[in-house]
Amino acid sequence: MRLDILFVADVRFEGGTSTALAVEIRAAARAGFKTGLLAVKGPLLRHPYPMHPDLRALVDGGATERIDPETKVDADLVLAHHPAIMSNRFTRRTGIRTERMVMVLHHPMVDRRGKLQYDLARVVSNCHWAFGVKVWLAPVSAVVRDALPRHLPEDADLLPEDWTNLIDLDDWPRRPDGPPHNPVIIGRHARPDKLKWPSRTTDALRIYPADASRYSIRILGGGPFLQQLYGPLPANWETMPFAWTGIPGFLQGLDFYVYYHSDSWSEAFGRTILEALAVGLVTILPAHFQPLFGDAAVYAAPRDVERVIGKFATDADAYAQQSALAREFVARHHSAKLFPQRLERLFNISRPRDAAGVRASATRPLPIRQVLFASSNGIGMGHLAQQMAVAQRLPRGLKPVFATMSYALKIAAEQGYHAHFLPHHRGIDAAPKDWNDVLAEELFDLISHLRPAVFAYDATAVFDGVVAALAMEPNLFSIWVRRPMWRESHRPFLEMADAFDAVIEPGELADEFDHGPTSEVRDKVLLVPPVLLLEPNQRLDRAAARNVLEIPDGTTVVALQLGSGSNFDMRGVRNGVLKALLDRPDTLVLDIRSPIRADFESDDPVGPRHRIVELFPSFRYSRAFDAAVVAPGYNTFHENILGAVPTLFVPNESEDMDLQLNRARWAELGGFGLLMRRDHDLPHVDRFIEQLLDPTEREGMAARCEAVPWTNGADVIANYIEDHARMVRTDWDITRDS
Amino acid sequence: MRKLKELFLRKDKQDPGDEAPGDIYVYKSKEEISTIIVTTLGVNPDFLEEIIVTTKRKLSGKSDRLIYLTDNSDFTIFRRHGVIFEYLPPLAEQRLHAADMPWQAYLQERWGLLLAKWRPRRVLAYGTTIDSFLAAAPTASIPNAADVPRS
Repeated sequence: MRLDILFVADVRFEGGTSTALAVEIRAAARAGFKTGLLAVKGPLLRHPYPMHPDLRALVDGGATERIDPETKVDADLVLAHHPAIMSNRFTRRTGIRTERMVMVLHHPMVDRRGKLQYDLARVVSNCHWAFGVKVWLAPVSAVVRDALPRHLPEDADLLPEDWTNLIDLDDWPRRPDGPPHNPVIIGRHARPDKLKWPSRTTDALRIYPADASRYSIRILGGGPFLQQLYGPLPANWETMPFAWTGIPGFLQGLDFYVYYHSDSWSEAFGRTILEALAVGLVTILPAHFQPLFGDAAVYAAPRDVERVIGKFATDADAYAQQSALAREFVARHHSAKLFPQRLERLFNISRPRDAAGVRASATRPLPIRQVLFASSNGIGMGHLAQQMAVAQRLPRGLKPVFATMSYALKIAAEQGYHAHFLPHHRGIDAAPKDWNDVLAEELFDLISHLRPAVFAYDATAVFDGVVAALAMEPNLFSIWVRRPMWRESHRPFLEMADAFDAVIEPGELADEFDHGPTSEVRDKVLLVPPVLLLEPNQRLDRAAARNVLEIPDGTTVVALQLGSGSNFDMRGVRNGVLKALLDRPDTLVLDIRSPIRADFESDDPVGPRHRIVELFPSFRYSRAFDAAVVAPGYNTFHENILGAVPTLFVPNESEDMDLQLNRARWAELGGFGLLMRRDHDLPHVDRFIEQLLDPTEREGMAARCEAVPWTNGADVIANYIEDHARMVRTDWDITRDS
Repeated sequence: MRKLKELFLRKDKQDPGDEAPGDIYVYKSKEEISTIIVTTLGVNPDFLEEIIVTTKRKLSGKSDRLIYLTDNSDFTIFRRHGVIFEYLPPLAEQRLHAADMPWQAYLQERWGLLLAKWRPRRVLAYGTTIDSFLAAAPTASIPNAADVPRS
């Protein structure tokens, strides 16, 4: 594959680095350059961030091509963003050849306290090893340039001009003309990091004054760290979480953009400042920014900020003039339209003559990569079902393979998936320690033959055998997908998170009722919406479902799904519910059994209106149901709520299970369903059934359920896997691995 | 990582007949257990029940555990009888997913691992023998074709 530019970057960066990269990609595409994006997993980010949404949109929209490390690429220019991504060697060979390589230095080599931020010699050496050419260093500002050593490392040279951040002015419409509000609205936007804030509380309160009668302070990128830094925050400080989207709207609602950071921090450039200037905000900064932004901003010491604001707030002409200066500065020095000129000026790379022709040939197939889905679950199938939800959403080019302890393997195999079975120690009556040693080898054998790009593990328990197998393959990107609602007894598994590169937590509608162990570490995981295998609109319509199930007209159908009861005896519940339902002459009970249930004793229907059926996934037929009585396991609970099936939830309250009671309580209190507890409520089962089948009650529950907002977390997980399946890793040092 | 198989091979115990009770790797913590592997590869599912009933009746010594090796993904019959089983993907699935990995190499390794794991004192075959099963496996993975629809 021939490319004009190959961008190399850690696509997970949240802030300015990714935004600047996105602007360059878009500008290159507009100019007709053929580009690719090679994703690197660098050592800086430990949080399981997904790909930056701007970058993903550019890849999805065809502005640039996702590059697999194995793809043979000839690029005129390799443009790598941020030196930290090359702190270590590439941990695999790539098929990239290039004539020139630029490393954009987004950060000073040393901070203001003299602390080394990256080892330039090491970065250059690693770049040289990866691409085999001289490395052009491209500082984003004079701040970064000035921090470089006088003698550069061998194989490196310095570009004669700074690689200044660019911005697409069309994305940053001007603030509406007019004087500042009263009270004046002061705002700022930065990653939620103490270093991005003034070190001293006194300075912070001078810069962002607490006088609510005169000032309103809006902070995008706030968080609990601010209280840790300053104590209780003033009432006029409005904090909002850091965001990727909606920034232009936020800025347009401000009068002044005021940005000061910690004495320890060395801001290489300040992309958010550039965005504020682009919108035409009067921007107030500490004096050290003057070489970067010149007369586009106003510079003041913290004690003078109020005075400067006062001056512009009372002089509409001065405000308008400064606002115009800001916008003009950005247009002159930082417009994305300048990107092609920069390429031509520095590298003699000119715009393709036939831009459309180049773009049309850009999309190429990627080599197929395997994704190994491993799961526990002996007698259950919840984890396997969740993995199938993700697998069926993977893009072409990623091949799912299953290795499961679930007896439901046949369901994956019958759907055409490549599937392997790993017996659980209970299934072979082995001691866990003995079994784990074997499991490690079984998994390692499978991994070494499949050579998957991603290992996705779905379970509450993380077995030592899994950890040992993963330790043998440090280049295999490993994800632990674990649901919340844990009991305390599961807490020891939390520390196993370190064995994985990322932890993903599928959401719970009832998350407010979850105070279990996982709720304490939610800031360390990627949270996604609840996962469903089948989405509500993928179900059969009512008539078709009733036809398949051969339901007579005029019959009220109640689905009964109480689980195997192997660890929580539901026989009394089943008998009570059945009697109460069948006492009603128009009611038919569909007693839905798992295709892998453990009870093999014969189990005859109690009458002609009691049908015992095996259905998977039963949710496909749920529009045929008028109501349901179920145990609120994760899948069934979310299916019935999101599918708006009026449901009586009977939680399995075994200590082995997740906190089903909490889910059911959420539903009961919110009017989404009803709750009946085996040991508390069973004597009143008739009343519960009467309420469940009351038409007004059912209508109310369904209406509330239908109003629950939801997107499928399976899509997010599939995207996450896609983004990590083709990353080159530099987050570990392969020279030290043995 | 490969210590289990290496241990197994070093002791030159590929002949299952040498195994003695109490020497089973996956049952290190248990005593006086010996195993027999009963392969049922390619067996018509209708005959599995009879095989299980027969082998349980005829083969189970006091310290024996029977390990059934199946290529049938429906495990119901084995679970109903409460027996231990291992699974290998059937030939049809190997062919369906031939490009995913070098199947023959994997299955040979897998069989070696199962022998090391269970150290059977005897291997009894119904249906296709393990040797034939392994010989029929796709020999090498086809290089990944770009962007073909997944199966």
